[in-house]
This record gives sequence, structure tokens and C-alpha cells, in this order.
Amino acid sequence: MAGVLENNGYSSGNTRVNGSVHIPAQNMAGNIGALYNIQGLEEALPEWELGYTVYVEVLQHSNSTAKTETISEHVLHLLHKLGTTVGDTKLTSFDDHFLSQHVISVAVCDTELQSGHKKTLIDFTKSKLKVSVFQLNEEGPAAEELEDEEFAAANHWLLPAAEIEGMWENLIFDSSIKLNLLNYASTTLLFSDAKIDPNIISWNRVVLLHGPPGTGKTSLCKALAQKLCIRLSDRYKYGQLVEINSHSLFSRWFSESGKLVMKMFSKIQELVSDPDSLVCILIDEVESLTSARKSALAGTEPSDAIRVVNALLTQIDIIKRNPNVLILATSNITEAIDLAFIDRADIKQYIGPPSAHAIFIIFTSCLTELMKKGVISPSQHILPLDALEAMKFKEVAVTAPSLFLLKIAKESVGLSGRTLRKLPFLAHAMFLQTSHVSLPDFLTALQQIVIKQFEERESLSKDT
Amino acid sequence: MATKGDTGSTCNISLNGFVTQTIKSRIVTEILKYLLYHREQIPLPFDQLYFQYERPEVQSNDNKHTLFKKRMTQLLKESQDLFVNIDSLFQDTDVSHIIVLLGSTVISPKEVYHIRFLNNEQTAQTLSVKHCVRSVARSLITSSPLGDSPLPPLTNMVITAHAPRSCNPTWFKPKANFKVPKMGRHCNIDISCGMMHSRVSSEEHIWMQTPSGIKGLKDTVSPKAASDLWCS
Ligand SMILES: Nc1ncnc2c1ncn2[C@@H]1O[C@H](COP(=O)(O)OP(=O)(O)OP(=O)(O)O)[C@@H](O)[C@H]1O
Ligand SMILES: [Mg+2]
Repeated sequence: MAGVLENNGYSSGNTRVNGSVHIPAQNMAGNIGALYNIQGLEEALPEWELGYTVYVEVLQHSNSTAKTETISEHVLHLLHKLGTTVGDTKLTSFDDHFLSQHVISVAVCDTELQSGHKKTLIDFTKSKLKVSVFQLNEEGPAAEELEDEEFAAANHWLLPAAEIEGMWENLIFDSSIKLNLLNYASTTLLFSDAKIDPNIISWNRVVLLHGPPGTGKTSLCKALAQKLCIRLSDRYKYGQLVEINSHSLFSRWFSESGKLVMKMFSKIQELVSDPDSLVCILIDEVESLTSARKSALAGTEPSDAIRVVNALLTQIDIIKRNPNVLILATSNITEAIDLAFIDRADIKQYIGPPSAHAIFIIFTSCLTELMKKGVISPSQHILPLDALEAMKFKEVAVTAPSLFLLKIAKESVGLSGRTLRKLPFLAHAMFLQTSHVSLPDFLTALQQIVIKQFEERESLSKDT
Repeated sequence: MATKGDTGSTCNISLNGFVTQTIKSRIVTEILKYLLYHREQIPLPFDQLYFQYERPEVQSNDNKHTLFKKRMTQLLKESQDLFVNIDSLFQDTDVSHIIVLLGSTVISPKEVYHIRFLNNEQTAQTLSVKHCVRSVARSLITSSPLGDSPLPPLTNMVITAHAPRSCNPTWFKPKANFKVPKMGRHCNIDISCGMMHSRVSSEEHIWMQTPSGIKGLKDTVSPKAASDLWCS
């Protein structure tokens, strides 16, 4: 056994060593039945499409000075020894002394994304592997001061950043939003890196994510930037994320904002001029552009406001000519985004509230965390949806909590991702408050808090 | 806008004699203190601040805890940490080139100082710490590197050191991808001296970076007037 597999779904007993899952003795009989079923399922698992690349992300220890190539070699060796895995997998402890000294984790990632939320059987010896080794920047975001300007116009991150680590996996969407964005962005960067003539094949580099509040737009932009930097780390030495908050840009006096926009972009241009840098520019809450224009029409400071908006749009046009730039924008209000901006966006992706299935996965991740930290005990395995499906949603001892959770998830449709991630906390605070809770009790509390959320919403909408 | 790829000024300091690793690290420390004050990242010379805020007797019998004071104590503590770790890096390994970056990130610095020790083995004399620190201070003050360029805003100071890959740093973070940034104004501080037994090896060097920067600090409330009024 080469390492400990941290597999967030199921896998057969012989590839899995996981200390955190305890099967209560009295449920043993039921569990063996369930495991048998799952194992049967696994044999029937779809195989990984061999044409696709399997991405392996290796997090190197921040104090390690080992060479990337050496680490890659060891990782490839490890994977070949391991032979196969099922779905996305993360290894965190290693027999190989070199790896345990230099590497924190080896993650086989995004295979489930690639095969449509399905776990597939991946044979490392047959698949095309792409190993990316990276170290995290732990400095946090830096406020980028502009010359003789007191306030910070943008946050500047060096990627991959420790704060953003794990964000990508924890964002759950139903359709292939994540995969599409990732493929789109990779192709853009590949095309421009290959100097493909944009007059023959036109492509662009502005992505707009829009949708209701709290659905993970800002997080997705950051996570995407991080993902790209990791995957393209052999091409670009530095990954950067420049986070511009349009609100702070436009809340100032318009006459000043114009100057500010110019200064900020000349700074960004400097960053971009290094061909070894991949620069992702995040323009958050771009709808404030529109309000700037609207207030201009309302007549307060007309010419200035329009000048600022135009300055920003022009600067975007200039900056996106660079091959190593990706512009990501988010907006809360779908209808109200500036038309001129919409026109510049090449991918306009609507991000809605998560579906029952996505909610089920989000809740599962929350509960797993609580079990891992011992708040919910004894810990029980929550089965993923496809396993439940394979068992025809039959209610037995092992499936009962999972089926209950699925029911709660269905009742939660309409809540945003931000709210959902808060619910386990609220459930505990309002209904439980003890340091050890059993899973069934926790689920009951969770259901109550979901009902309460909808009641609160209703009363709020009555008020207005 | 900062001039790009500015070769900037050079400040040559020559010490006629051998320097030990301890002396080298002391020299670097003194240069850092000099830069912090002269690039206006701290309101008073470092040692004076240290005298004011960090002495045990000051700490115990003074119950005024303003935010500024708290931050200053923090800054002094972080700087001491930095100096100690620079010293142990010099003791452990052969560092020939140190870069001091003033600016929000290591790739967008406003000012870049290169501190290099150049080997010039002509003298046999061994120098004292005191002598070296004094001559470095004197040279810096007289030649005043970047003295005539505009001051940076209050910002972050990060140090990177070029050291052998095998040195296994514990505090410094290896940054294999780091390259000397083109942005900002550059200034070379070249120190020529004799080196005891220069451990120069053919081994590959990589950059090591301080895990966190020293953030500049200014007393926005004038120290005497407002704070005393509120605290007494
Ligand atoms: N689909 C999702 N899956 C998992 N977590 C989510 C999801 N959507 C939102 N979240 C959680 O909600 C939090 C808030 O997300 P984020 O700030 O990115 O939303 P947003 O769409 O930018 O909101 P706003 O429009 O208010 O700016 C995130 O920390 C994330 O953990
Ligand atoms: Mg947001």
C-alpha cells in the first residue's frame, strides 16, 4: 500500500485505508451488504476515457528545496505502483521517504468533473498523466498602493495562494460550469501562447459570471485563477490575481476615479509585461459600472462619470491584447450590467443557486468535516448519490442517514451556497449546542433550520 | 510611474580586511535598519525606537497602550526575528547576494536594493564588528543611495537571499521561481572585503524569501499631542 487514500466518495475496501470512518458494530451486517453492493457497482464502473489527460496536482512543502522534476519522478513512480484509483483521490501520506519529506499531498483531480460527476476507474499505467508540482504563497493579499495615492485600489495575490487552496473542490455546481470555464480559459491561454492570429481565429479573454448573491461567483473566479496557475506552472513562473473592487473604484469622486483607473491599469500593464507571468484580473461587482453611468444620466456629474466608465472599458480593451492575461468579472444583478461591458464579455455564464444534488454534496462535505473534527460522533459514512441510486434508494440501516440528508437537500432548493454553508453552524447553535452529537440528531436539527430559513425569507419579503 | 529596469545607483563600500559570517550578517542588519528609517518606513532610527519601546523597563512600568505602540512593538519584534534568522542563515551557509524589496509584493517592488559581498583578498587584517558596522554606516550616509529619488509610500519590506539549494532553510522559504524583478528603482550596495574561507561552491543557488514582510509604520496621530491627552 503506497499511501493513505482520502477519497471523498466510496471505494472498495482493498484500495482504501481510512481511519476516520467507523462502522458501528451493530450495523455491521447491513454495512457488509452495502459494501458488497458498492463493490459490485465498482466493478461495473465506467472506465476513464483514455484520450483525456489525468491531472495530478502535487503540493510541495513550503520549506522544501527539492527540484520539480525530481518530485514529478517520484510521484509518477508512486502512481504506477498504485496502479488504479476510483474518481478524484488525494494522497497525504507516503511510504516513499523522499515524498513524505517534501510533499504534503498528491491529488488526482477533476476526473469526476471531466466525466460528468461520475467516478471512473482510472488506470495510471495506461492514462496520459500531467503532474503539476506547486508550492503555496503564504503571504496573503497585498494592497497595491498607487503612487501618491493613500488608498489601495486593488488587492494583489501571488498564486497559488494558501487562502485559495481548496476553494475549487469545495465549489459545487450542477452542470459543467467548472469544466467549461476551465477548458475555455486553458484554450484561450494556449491559443495566445501559440500566437494564433486573432484575425483568423478570434477568441477573447473576458469572462463574466452573473447570478444571484452568494452563489459562489467571486470564489469561482479566484479558484479558477488558482487552478490555471497550477496547471500552467511549467509555462508561467508567476501566477497573479489582481482583484479590483469596482465599488471602491466608483464610490470616489468621479473626477478622481478617472485618474485612479489610469494609474491602476498602468500598474497592471507593468505586471503583464513580464511574459513569465500569468495575470488574472478580477473585476468584482461590475454592476457598479452601470450605476455610475446611471447617476451620470441623473445629472450629478455627467461628463466625469461617463469618462470614468469609458476609461475602464478602454483600458480593458488595451490590457486584453496581452497573451498572458485573463479578465474575470462578476455581477450580482443580471439585468443591470452595463451593455458596453456585456458586449466585451466573451463567456457570459449564469450561476444560479445550487440544485438538490449540489446541495446534497455541499451538506455532505459539511457533515464530513464535522465528523472528522469529532463534533458529530460516531461518524457514519454518507453515501454519494450514485451509490444510493444503484441501491434503488432502498432504505436500510446504512442508507438511512444519507436518504434523510437527500430529503433535506431537496427541501433546501432555492437557498444560496453561502447560506447553505452557514446552516450546519446555525443548526448546532440553535438546536444542539453540545460537543458531541449523533448524526441523526444533527440531521433533524439541520432540517429544522432549513424550514426556519424559508420562514425568515417569507417574513422578510412580506416586510418589503 | 516607476522607471522600468532602472539600473539606478551603486554604493561601493570597501573594507580592508577579512570579515566573518557574523560580521556579514551584522552588516546586512545595519543596512536594513538604515533603509527602514531613511526610506521612511519607521518614524525614528531603528535603535532609537528599540530603546524607546522594547526595553524591559519601558514595557513594564508604562501602562499606556496605544494602537501605534502595539504595532511598533510588533514591528520591532518581527525585525528582531528577521535579524536573528538572517544571522543563522549566514552561519549555516554561503550567502553572496541579498535583495531587499520595498513594495507590496516581490514582483511589484517600488525599490530594490542588492547587497553583494565581493571577494577581494588583498589584506590579511581581521576586522572587528564595530569597525565594519561603522564604515558601512558612514558610506551609506555619505553616498546616500537613492537619496534623491522620491520616497516610497508606507509599504512592505521583503528580503530574499541567494543560497545553495541544499541549505535546507527552516525559516526562509525557498522560491525556486523567483527572479530579480525589473520593476522599481534599483540600487547596488557592493561591499568588497576579504572572506575567511569562502565556501564558494559550484552548487546551484536558489532564492530564499522571508516568510512575511516588515510593514512600514507611521504614527498618524502626532505622538505627543493626541495620544498623551487620551492616555493620561
Ligand atoms: N455552489 C457552491 N458550492 C459550494 N459553496 C458555495 C457555492 N456557492 C457559494 N458557496 C459558498 O458561499 C460563499 C460565498 O460565495 P461568493 O462570495 O463567491 O459568492 P458571490 O456569488 O460572489 O456573492 P455576491 O454576489 O454576494 O458577491 C463562499 O465562501 C462559498 O463557500
Ligand atoms: Mg462576490
